[in-house]
Amino acid sequence: MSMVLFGVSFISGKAQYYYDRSKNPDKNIGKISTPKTGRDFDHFFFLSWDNNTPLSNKDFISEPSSLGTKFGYRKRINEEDKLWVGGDFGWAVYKQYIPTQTYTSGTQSVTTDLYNYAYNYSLSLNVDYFFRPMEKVFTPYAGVGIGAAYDKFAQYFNIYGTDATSWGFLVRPEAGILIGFKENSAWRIKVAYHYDYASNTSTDFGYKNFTNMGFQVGIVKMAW
Amino acid sequence: MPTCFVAFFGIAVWSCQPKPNNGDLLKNMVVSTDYNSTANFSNYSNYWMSLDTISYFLNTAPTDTLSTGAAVRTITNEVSGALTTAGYSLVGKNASPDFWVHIYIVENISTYQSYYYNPYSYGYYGGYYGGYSTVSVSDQSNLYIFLVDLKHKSTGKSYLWGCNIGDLASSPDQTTDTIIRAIDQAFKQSSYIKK
Repeated sequence: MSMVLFGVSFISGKAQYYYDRSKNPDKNIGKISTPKTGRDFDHFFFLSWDNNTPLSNKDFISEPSSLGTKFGYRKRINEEDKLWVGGDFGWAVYKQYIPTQTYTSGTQSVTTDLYNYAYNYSLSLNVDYFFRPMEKVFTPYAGVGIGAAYDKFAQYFNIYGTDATSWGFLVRPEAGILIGFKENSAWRIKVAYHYDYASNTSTDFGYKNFTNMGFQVGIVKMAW
Repeated sequence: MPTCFVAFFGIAVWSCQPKPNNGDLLKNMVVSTDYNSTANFSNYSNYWMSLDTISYFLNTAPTDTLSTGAAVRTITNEVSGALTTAGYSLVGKNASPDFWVHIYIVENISTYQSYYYNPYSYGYYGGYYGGYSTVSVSDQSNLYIFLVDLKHKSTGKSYLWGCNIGDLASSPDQTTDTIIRAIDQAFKQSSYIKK
């Protein structure tokens, strides 16, 4: 017991040497088994570049999109750095060029080339579970987001165009990792994969739902 | 502060809906055709059409109803050439043609004026001078080609074939290649028009 107390006091002493705890008291003292060695980050923001591949209705758009971004916020809800909750706002644009073709229906024929677009917006509440304490350089996590998705499907040809909009329910499981530039870094890189299922439908454009896989790389700002 | 940033970011991204650029969009015209399913095009032998004039309807100048010139000749020659290739002969108006080729352009120019009111804009000395007006103009024109049955005009069922090509007003090339390609495409996708 005395060895444990000695060890804890040594770690605390070292932390105070590198960081002035009087200005930023450790909120975890007495709550977790191992006190932190740096700043006690309890929330963070991130901004990611999001690359997506559509998985549904590939007749309309099948090409992957690199035009997307995600902005998110997380706040720690327990003192062990494991469970974080927050929200994401996502935006992605999918597009595909369909070369000139003739479409015939009955006595009517139309020849044109088409520009198919899908504009996706999402707002979700997220829960992430981090497998390692946040002060580590590599902090892998898995999470899920639940929220709303708004899609606008559009088709442009010459000066003409048609579009439809749809709201839907969104579920987004996600797994990734935060990589710090050093131990307990305030700035980190986020790399994550996610799968999105949105219940958005459009009979005009042939969507029964909108699903996609995504890969995001972003920057994270830790805060306390 | 973070709330403001999130709101700004959200609004900025929400309003960002990129579209294809006009250079790509206007490369090709849209060609639509339709025909009378009861018509038998092999029953017709000759036609008449004006080669130097086409009808022109402009909503802002109702009295201007005819168009002439080199661009018109380009259009009529292409249509006439396609019909000749299909096996039909061009004859005079008084030679009892089997069908008539009616070509016309409809152009619609719309002007919108909007006034944006800014309730927070006041003059330095208290006088209100907020808000500004904008004017936007849209111009759309389509080329129509119709084959009108003259053999059965007494029955009232004179419609044989119709074609709609657009948009002429926005096309970067309004006189030659794009229109010629569109007219050729109209007859190509109407392979039933043959003697």
